[in-house]
Amino acid sequence: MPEQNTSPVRCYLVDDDKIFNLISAKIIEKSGWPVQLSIFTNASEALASLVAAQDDLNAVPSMILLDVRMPDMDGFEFLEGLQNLNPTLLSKINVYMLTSSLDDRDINRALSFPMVRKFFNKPLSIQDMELILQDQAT
Amino acid sequence: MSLIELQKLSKEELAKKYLELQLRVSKFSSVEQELINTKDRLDSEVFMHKRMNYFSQQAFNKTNEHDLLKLAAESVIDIFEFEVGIILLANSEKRIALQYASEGIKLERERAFKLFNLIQTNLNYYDIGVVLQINKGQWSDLHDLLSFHQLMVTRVAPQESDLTLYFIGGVLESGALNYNPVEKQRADAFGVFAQQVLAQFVNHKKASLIEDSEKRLTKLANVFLGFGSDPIENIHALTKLARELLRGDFSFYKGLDKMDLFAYSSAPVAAQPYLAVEDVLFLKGFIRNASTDFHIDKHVPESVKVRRERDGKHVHLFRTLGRKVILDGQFTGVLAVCFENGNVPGEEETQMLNIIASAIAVEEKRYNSLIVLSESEERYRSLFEGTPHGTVILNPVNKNLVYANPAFCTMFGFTVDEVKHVKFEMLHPELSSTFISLKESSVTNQSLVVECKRKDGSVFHAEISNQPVQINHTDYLACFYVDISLQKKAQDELIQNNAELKKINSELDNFVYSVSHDLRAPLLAIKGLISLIQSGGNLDEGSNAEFLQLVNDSVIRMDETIKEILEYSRNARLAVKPERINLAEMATLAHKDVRYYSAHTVDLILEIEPGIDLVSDRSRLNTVVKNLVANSVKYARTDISNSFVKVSAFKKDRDLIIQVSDNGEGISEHHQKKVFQMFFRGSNKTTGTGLGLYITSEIIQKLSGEITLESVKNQGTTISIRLPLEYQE
Repeated sequence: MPEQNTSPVRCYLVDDDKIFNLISAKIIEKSGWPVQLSIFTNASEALASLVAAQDDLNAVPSMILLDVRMPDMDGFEFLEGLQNLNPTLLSKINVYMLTSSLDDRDINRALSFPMVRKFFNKPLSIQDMELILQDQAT
Repeated sequence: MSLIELQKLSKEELAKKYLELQLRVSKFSSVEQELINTKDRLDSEVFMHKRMNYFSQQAFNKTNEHDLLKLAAESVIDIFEFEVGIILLANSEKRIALQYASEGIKLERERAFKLFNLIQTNLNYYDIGVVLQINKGQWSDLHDLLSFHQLMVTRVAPQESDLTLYFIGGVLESGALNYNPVEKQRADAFGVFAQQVLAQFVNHKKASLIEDSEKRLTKLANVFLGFGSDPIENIHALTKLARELLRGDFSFYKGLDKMDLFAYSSAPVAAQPYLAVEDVLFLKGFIRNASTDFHIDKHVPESVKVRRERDGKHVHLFRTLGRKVILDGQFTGVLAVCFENGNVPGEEETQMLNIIASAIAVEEKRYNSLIVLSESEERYRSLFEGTPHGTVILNPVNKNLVYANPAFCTMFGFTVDEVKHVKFEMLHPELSSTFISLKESSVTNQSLVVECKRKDGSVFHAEISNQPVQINHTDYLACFYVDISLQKKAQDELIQNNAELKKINSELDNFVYSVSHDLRAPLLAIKGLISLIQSGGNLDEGSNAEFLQLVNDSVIRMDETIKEILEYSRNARLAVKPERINLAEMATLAHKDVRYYSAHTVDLILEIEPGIDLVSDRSRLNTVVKNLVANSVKYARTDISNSFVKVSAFKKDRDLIIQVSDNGEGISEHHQKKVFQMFFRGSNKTTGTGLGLYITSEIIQKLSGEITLESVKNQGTTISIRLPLEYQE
């Protein structure tokens, strides 16, 4: 088990599918880590929230669980939006992609963004969560 | 002696004197008889000379040889009191009879000529001018020919001539009783008469020869002067001339290798013995191996004969004077004049024939070169006019089109005459003028694809190349056009098809991607929910029930997606089935089905023009109406109480306009373009599949209609559909 951190990890969950959001939230809850979770069903709202928070380092999430396929703004558009953020701020953010897609093109495209750390198939599982927390610790 | 003296005489003396007297009387009477006889003879001689004189006067007026001979024959009877008079004119060297005349007997040609042969055989040993008396019994063959009692025959010949005149006077057997045996004087007179006729004949001949030569030369000159440009006509004229100048009965010219083309006969129609083609061929075979000039006499093979057109009889070629026509050393044809009459061609005639034959050779040569010329012209013309490539000759100086072939005219829509008023730059407004500069083009001469403007202004594409040409020592430019509109069109179509295929391919790719995603998403959600339920632990009972409900929702969503995919494939796969449709009923039922998609109440308003007779595919249109009404229900504004969906329809020309409008959420402007795309979802408010409007627009396209959208965010959306009132394939 990775080392426990007393202060809660700020995490954004960005997915238009409410069922997956529920599942992801439950899994995060089950992992037992103190995570402060913000759920967005709309990527543009999540981006707006980040832009608004970029001056406050504490308000910026250290991890984002991001869905690929969403109406309005999809995962890739969100990632592009992220790159416009302050680079120091950006360096603190780890993005973990969640997808129901089996398409290699999606995976490759996502991993081409430096802030994308890992790629997980939906639904998020306990094992996935542990990998994410290990990655977070390094 | 006086009476006194007589009385003195004795009886004896008287008797003696009487006897003496009687003797004297008888002597006187014999003298008297002699005197009478002499007078008679003188009278007869005077008469003969008068007749001869008369003959001379008459003969002087005769213009033609035959008439002269005829007159002579008559005179033989008149002057010498014969029953029969025959005059024969013959060529003594060639031993052939030329002409004859007879009086007092009907003498046909054959008999006349036999007579000539006979006389010639028998007279051969005698000098000219000797008058013979031939009695019955002499010349036995002669008697078979002419049933005569006695004949007087003489022959005379002019000096330095091969002509001989035979004079024959005769008494037939039937007239023998009244016949006075011929005396010496009559024979002398016959000889004198023959000389006289001969003199007349020679004079006549001389005069006519001079006249003839003049006439012939004039004729020859006239024919040469009258030559036209057509060699065939000229050969016609020359052939005719040969007959006229040589005084033949007919003439022909036969080109050896042009059987049908050059066989002529030019005698006056009434007396024309035509050569049948096979005769000419035979004759040709006969003379093929002959020397340049040939002369066929009666003794040539019997088979050489001609068929006379007027009676169809075969007539022996009595005499033919012919000449090979030689062209560039080649035996090219035969020119010949045939004589059925007594004319015998001489040196002058042979020379004339030579002149005419040479003239024909020249015309033949001209004909051949004209043929070669017209053949090559024909070849080039057919090449120029027959080619499917547009070809035009233009003047590089003033850029005028000089000549265009039919393919060019068709390409550009001009007539051949109009082309001459067209300038090159009118055809190709965008083409650089260096293309038709002679200097440049002679260097480059490469083809390029240019835009071409037709007479009516329409445009096509052609591949054009050029080539400098010289016509009559002037430089022109020939331009060749290949219409590549079809290739260009095919190429454009290919590009378009390719783009379409790429689009379809990417759509298909997108489709598979989206379908796999949208089908997997609910499945994976179920998987996640189940694992949550299974892990149980710190989850309460309420949560489990909630999870199960979510599993159910996911199943429904997946089912909907599958249904819509089926709907899409149905539209693509099944043929349109046109039937009469009641739009109001359809909208009402659709509203009934979908109004519970939202808890919010959305009322249906129908504004359908009465009397609409719509024939289209019921099932497809139902999907459309249902999708649109469902969207209005799903995306209704929940903050207002008067939500509605209005279905209206009205006719416009032969189309029906259907509008589905609402006062719902509306679609933001940047989404409006994408709403008809496959799997596009403008909102995550509901769990749409992103296929509804895509399928709708696909269906409308299939029904030959159009679909458009107008929307204002938070005010509402209007979707307009134009459909043909009656669907036609």
